[in-house]
Amino acid sequence: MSKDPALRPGYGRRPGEFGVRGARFAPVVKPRHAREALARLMGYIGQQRALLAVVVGATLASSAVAVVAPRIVGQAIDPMITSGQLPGLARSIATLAALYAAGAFAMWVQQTAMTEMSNRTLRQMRHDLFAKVQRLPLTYFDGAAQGDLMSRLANDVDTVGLALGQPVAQLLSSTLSIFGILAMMVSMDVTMTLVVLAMMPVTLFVAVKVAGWTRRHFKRRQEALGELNAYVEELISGIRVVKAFNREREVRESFSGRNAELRLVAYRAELMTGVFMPLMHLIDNIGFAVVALAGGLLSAQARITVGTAAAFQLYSRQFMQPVREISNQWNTVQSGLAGAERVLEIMDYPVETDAPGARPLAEQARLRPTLPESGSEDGSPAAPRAGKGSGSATQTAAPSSHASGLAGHVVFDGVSFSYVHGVPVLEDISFEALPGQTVAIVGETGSGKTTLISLLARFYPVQSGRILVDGVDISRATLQSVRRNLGIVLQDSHLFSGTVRENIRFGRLDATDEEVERAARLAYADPFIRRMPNGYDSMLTADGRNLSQGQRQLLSIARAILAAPAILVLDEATSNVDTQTEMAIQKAMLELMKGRTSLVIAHRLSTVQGADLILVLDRGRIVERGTHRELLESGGHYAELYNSQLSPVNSEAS
Amino acid sequence: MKRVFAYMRPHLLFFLIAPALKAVEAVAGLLQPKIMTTTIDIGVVTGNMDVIWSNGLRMLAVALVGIAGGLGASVFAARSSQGFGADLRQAVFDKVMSLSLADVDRFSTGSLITRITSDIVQLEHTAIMMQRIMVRAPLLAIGAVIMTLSISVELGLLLLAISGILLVVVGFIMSKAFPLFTQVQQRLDTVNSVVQENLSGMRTVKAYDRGSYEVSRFDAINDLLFRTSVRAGRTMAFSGPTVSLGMNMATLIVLWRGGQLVAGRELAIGQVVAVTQYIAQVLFSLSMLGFLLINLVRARASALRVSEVLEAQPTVVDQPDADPVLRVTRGEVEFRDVDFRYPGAAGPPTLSGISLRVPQGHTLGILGGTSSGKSTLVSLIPRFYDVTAGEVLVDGINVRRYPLANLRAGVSIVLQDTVLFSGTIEDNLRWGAGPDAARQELVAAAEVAQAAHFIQASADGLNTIIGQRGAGLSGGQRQRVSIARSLLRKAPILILDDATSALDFRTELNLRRALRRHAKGTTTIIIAQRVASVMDADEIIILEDGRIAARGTHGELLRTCPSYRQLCQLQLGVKFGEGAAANE
Repeated sequence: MSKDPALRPGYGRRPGEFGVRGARFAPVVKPRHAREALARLMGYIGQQRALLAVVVGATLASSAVAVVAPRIVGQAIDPMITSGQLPGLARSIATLAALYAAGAFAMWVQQTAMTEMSNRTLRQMRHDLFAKVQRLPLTYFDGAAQGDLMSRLANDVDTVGLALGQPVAQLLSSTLSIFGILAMMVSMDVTMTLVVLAMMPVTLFVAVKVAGWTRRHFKRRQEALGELNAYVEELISGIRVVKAFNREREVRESFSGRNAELRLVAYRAELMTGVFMPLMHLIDNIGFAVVALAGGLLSAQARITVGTAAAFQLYSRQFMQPVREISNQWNTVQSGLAGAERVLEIMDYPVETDAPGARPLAEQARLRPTLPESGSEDGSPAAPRAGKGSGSATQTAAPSSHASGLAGHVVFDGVSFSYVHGVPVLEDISFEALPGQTVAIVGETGSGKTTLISLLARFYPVQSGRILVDGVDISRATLQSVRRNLGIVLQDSHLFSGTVRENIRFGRLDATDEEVERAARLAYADPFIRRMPNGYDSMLTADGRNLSQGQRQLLSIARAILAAPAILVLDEATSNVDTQTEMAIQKAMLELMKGRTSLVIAHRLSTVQGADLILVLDRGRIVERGTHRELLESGGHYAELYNSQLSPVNSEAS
Repeated sequence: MKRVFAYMRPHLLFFLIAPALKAVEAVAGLLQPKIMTTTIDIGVVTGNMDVIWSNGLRMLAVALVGIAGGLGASVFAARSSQGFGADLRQAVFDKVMSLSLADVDRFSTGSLITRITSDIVQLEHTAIMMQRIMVRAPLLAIGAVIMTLSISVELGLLLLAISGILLVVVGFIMSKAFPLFTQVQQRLDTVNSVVQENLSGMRTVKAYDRGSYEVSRFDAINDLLFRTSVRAGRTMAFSGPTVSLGMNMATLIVLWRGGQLVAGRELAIGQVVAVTQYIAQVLFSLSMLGFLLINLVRARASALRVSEVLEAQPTVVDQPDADPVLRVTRGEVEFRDVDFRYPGAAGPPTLSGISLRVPQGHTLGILGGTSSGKSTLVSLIPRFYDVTAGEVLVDGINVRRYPLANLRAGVSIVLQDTVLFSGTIEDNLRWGAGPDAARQELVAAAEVAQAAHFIQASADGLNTIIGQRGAGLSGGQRQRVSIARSLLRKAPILILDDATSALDFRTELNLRRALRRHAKGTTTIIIAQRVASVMDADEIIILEDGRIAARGTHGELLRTCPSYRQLCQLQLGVKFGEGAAANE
């Protein structure tokens, strides 16, 4: 079981060995045994103790009725047979009527409480799972196919839900019934009881065997379904490319292969479930025949009364039914467990954690007497400064308008990082950004720029070296405080379904409407928002498809402005914005950067020219640093980059 | 709905055999109490051992026939339902692939995925349930009533009456529960779409540390689902006890009346016992009904969603008058008074009055503001969408006259949102090249696209495996692979829709130089954010609100268009004098 490759996040494909994202170095999740999954599911149900007590109580009551009633029926029949008279029949029937009514009431209580309990449990499980997913490290998402993850959150939780409701109640009542009926049978006649019990081992053996097969096959089916889900998602989101390349036919064929695979696996799983009941019926009927036979023989020999024989006939049915019921429901529970195992795989994945004793950034920074003049106080090599920014920190530190109280002093001290062991993406990165300074990062694609800012946001843990914010090692600060103090505008700006206003407010949840609109104005998003049919209350679709890419970017800039962080991180934020708006945005950005430390992955010359420090990255190393002027004069890598952008492809172009 | 059931037709034989075999199983079950009656009445009461033995064997034989029926039914049920599901899944997927982009946009990717997977699984499940229960449960009930009638008409009629009453009561409860379960299904959909959205925006959520906000958003919807589910469950909770109470009361009446009949020697005691067991069977069948209902509700919702896709008609299809052998040869592109509006969109049209001509081998640069219609304009060339008015011509022939496949084979487009598929880099490149292309060809294209360097630098070269959506590659690497993929098609028309936005200056420059050498004679359309990307084009157009605001070469625009001049200053960081055509 443990060899199963699909237990890893994703679906068994290993992403590239190079590149920026997607490599996973996450530990392989250990598969669990059914018993552990069951125990943990039970733990969930156990959280609803009061309801559970009600369910158990009501089940006890209704099971008791089911057990006692046949006995009274037997007692009512016996005198009929022996004497042909009905002396106590009226009384027996009155008693039974009362019992049945009580039983029905108990059953209603049980089902009502059960529905409440199972739905509460499901709600809790969905909540836990969703909350857990929020805390998973990005490495998980890099490696996992989103479709498969989705399938776990939807299909698998659903399967667990199906197994949680009625089956659990049935298991309970069936178990109780078995013991009750057993007691009744023993009290009536031991020999007949043994005859009835003779069939038990066969039933149990078959049940356990088939249940095991069923669970394995169901798990395989759920996996196949997850894979297909991932495949479908990939192709439908890339349908433009499929169409552009006329590849509809090939894609259909490829789908058809996967579909056939799923069909086979699903067929086997369904067959297992289908075989179960007939097998149980067979055993059941054989048992029934045996009991009829034995009852006939014994009563013919007058060792038991005919009434007892008749009662045992009823009991054998009644006894077999819960046994069969248990096995049957156990089967449903098995497929639920298969789902639960996949859910628990996510639950057990290590989350992003704070170091032991971590405290908020600002709190720790406040404990430091003054800002370090350079990194040396922390034992870090003094990072070279940009020419103009070499003034003391206190001079540059603008009175921060940000609520956190952080100055925004950022130091990278000998930071190295690799996604895949042995393939360094960043090597020995050291630099310092004084409060309010702008650091521009330039370099070719794949030189590690995105990774660099990802480390500052603690999307990934630094492997060697330190990153200090206001003198505090961010790996010792709480994750929350690190991210709350960063304003990040990512390459692909993501919007959520909701109004425009809600999307901007995502930056700071307690912002007033005025603040939201102010941020939008600063980001030059206000005009197009007002042109939308409902202005700030216009609904955006899930993927923001009713906005252009540039507009989406503007909204995410507004979001960052609203967040008013101490440190601003822009990843090519301007690259998609149209040329007209770009000028305006650059001005807004300058405004925003004022008094705020900014790390910018720059593609624009104007950004670079205004930067206090330019870092030129090449294959994960800083190869040059300085201001625009300094770097141009030195005539190195940067100068080459700069000139190449200016020179047209060939001279006749103009 | 009909469309969905049509996919059952090839499996109809198996689909019907299954319940027939189930019926055999049910009949076997019905016979057992009947045989037992004689065991008790003749065998036990008179002490006739022969009867007891032969009846025992008979019951055994009947049981064996029963299991044969049961097992056979399972095989046929699993086969037909999975076959039905697989066929339906293939059909829906094929349909989605044949839909026009406007239709796919309308459904949204997430909902299409749910329809292809979860919804169809639900239908398969219901198909199996129906085969197992639909025939067997009523059969058991009717059989039980008939058997009872054959024992005693009076008791049989009594059972019939009570079953009838219960059926009405259960029916009433169901009619209350039905809409509630439909609502549960809708809530479940909402929960799923919130999850989907959250997963795709995970980076943003993390960047703003909004995990707990997202959780509270999720909780609100989760809670709604919970409350609706509980309401539905509570309604259903009435049906089980009602049925069981009714049937138990029936047992009592049978005992009472049966007792009198036995006393009057009209009925044997064994017959009364058998009748009580038939009552139990009716009880069992009725309680199955509720089980089936929940499934039917879900299945109905699923079937509706699936058939919605199956019924969708692709809007962009081969025209009846399309010339089947027409191909793009030269690569000349022309727009004549083109207007375009997205289907169902309000407000002003996305494009209006667009007229332009790109002769063979020329390069057109397109600059323009946010949502000025740049991407829309080029997506009209391979007919991703059809124009609202005017015409688009390729090689002087309206694009609608081409068979879609031939038209698209002649237009190579690199999209703004880079899409790579999981597989090796080579697999991805072969999307453009076809399976027979030599490896050298792939390498050559990668070289032009400036992708050869990093591909070679990786340990597995072209065999490097990339994850979904190109995971494992950086944005710039993805763009370059997708450019190489498009180059391999060697189409007469090449469109780069902001396809170099993640490349740095130098890589982009090298790319442009290489393209110029490689793609000589190819008609090229470049949409860009940077002036530098298009300034050497034969013509540049500037789009504003779906109209062409200015056009000309770089030099002409510098002279005539103030906003272009300003743009150049902004991006190139150089002052241009009035009328100066070149950079300093």
